[in-house]
Amino acid sequence: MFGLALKSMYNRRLTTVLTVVSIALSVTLLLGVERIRTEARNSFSNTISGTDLIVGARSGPVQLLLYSVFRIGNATSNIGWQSYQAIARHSQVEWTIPIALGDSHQGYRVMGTNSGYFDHFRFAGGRALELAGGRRFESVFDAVLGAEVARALGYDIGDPIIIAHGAGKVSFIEHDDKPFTVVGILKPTGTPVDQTVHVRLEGYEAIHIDWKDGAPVSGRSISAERVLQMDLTPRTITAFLVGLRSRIAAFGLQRWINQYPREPLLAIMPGVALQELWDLVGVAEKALLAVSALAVVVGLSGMLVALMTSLNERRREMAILRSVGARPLHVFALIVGESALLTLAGVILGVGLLYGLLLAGQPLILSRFGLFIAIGGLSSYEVILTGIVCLAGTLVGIIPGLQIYRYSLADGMTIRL
Amino acid sequence: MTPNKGNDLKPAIAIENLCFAWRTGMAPVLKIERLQVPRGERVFIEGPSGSGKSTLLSLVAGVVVPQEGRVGVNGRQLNTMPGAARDQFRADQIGYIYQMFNLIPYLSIVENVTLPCRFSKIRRERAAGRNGDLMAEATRLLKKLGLEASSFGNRAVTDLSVGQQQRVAAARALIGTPAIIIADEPTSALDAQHREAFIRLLFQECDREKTTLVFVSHDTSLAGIFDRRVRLTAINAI
Repeated sequence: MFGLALKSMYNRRLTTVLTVVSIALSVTLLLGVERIRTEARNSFSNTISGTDLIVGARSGPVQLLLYSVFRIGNATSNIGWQSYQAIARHSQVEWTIPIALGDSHQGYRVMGTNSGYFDHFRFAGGRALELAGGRRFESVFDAVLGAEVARALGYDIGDPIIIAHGAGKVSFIEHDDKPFTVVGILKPTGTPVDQTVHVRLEGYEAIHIDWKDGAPVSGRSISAERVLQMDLTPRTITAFLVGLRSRIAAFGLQRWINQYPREPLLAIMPGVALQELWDLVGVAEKALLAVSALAVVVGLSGMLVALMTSLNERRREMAILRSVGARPLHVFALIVGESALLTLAGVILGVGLLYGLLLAGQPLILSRFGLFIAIGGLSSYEVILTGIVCLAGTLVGIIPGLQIYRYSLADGMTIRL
Repeated sequence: MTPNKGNDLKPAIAIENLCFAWRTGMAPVLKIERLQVPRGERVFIEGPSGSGKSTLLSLVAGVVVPQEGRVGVNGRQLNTMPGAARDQFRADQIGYIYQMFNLIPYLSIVENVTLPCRFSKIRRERAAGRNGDLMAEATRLLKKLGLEASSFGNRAVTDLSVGQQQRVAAARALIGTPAIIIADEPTSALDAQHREAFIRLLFQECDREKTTLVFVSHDTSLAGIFDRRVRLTAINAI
């Protein structure tokens, strides 16, 4: 019977191929959405590790998390250097990493920080940043590039770069009077660090020292040589990361910072804020998953339509099979077996397509969105999803199967056309 | 499942007090008090279109069972057999030829001929027994019916002429020597010249194995060469 089913399908190969492809596409969509969802979560969770608190100006926890760690969106306001110093000196604080944001280089964010960044920043379950070449920044106009920035823009150690004011890809004002020099390039991390140009806080201060209210003050331009003689202690920073001596202190310190009397500050725990973010995007995720599940339903309906329309021309085939001794059950099994085979082929092709797309899209997604999509085997959830699709496809076959079963009983030995 | 001695004496087809309607509650289409066909007989059943010829064949093939009366084929009572057993009985004992469109388009010529052997172990063993393998037996039968394997080679069955298709169908009905060949107007699509040649070929092969042949047609010009001629309108009380 199996051989008969295969030959019959080959005979109708155009419809068969189209049906398999439509099921495959819907399965790819379903698994793709699921894969992007879990990988995005993994990628986000892997972006920061070992940081107990993130402190910024008072806004929303999700917003603070997004702009300080993921370089998504912008800070509404900065925090004073004095406040930062006061908190950094707290007895429970082991280390801090200051972050100054706002400028960019060809669309990549420029982040001002200090050497603590290289010592204390951790990602993906405790991995430290490593240099692929060169050294850390030391002087005011040194820059250390993330792996993707260096790769995409083709920079090497020693190249000069000009920082543009603002975070957009196209900027009309550039700090071209004070060029930076690439002194180091980081190894790839699969996090937004790869998309970032790192400079010293003093460098950030230096390019804005002759600015006031977000614009250069005309006639008061200060040269790059002269600026080095000046006091470059920043007046403000955007946010800072805090590592504590004991994690137990996190709640106490968080409350202390949130009630800091001299300035409205917000301290968040990255894990808690991330959870809040998931709750936020969870609705959209569910909607996406529902849409892709509907696509599978559409794909299977296509198969049902193809099978049902083939039934009339196959009545003759079934009568011949009956005449040589096939039971109605054989005829039923032929149709249900065919739908099971079609679905299975669709699922296999769909999974193949998914991996093809992942392989092709992985570098693109990494460079565009900073999301690192790991390519692993099917998760148990995905296996269950494909299993459900296979089962549904087989069950769908019961409808035309019963129909032909009824035909074969009613037609008897007569051939109806 | 070789028929025992007692069965051998029984007629190939024995119908008694039969009454059949396609659905219970509908008017019956066949009412036959008695019809007997002895083994090895070549019987011609005639009747106009719609007189219940195909229905009678469905009953003999065991695809349907009568509401009343008995249908015996080779000593077995089809009307009391469960459906699956009737299907198996049909696979083992009956070769069926339709008036046209006999072949499954996606199977090769030889695959079409050996199709009954997929469903009947008895016919598979009988067919393979004579020549050692099914392919050889199928080729032999086709050759007997005037189709040289070398001339049609791997041609699709849909490329064959109607006459050739009917000969392939005859080979399929004959393979594994079933007890009864049922032919439902197999010559209606053939011209007069091919018609008789086809029937003679069919006779030749039936004679070799003493196979009973039930041949149904509305074309009475063929009736003369059969052993017996039965008018369905004469035996059907409807």
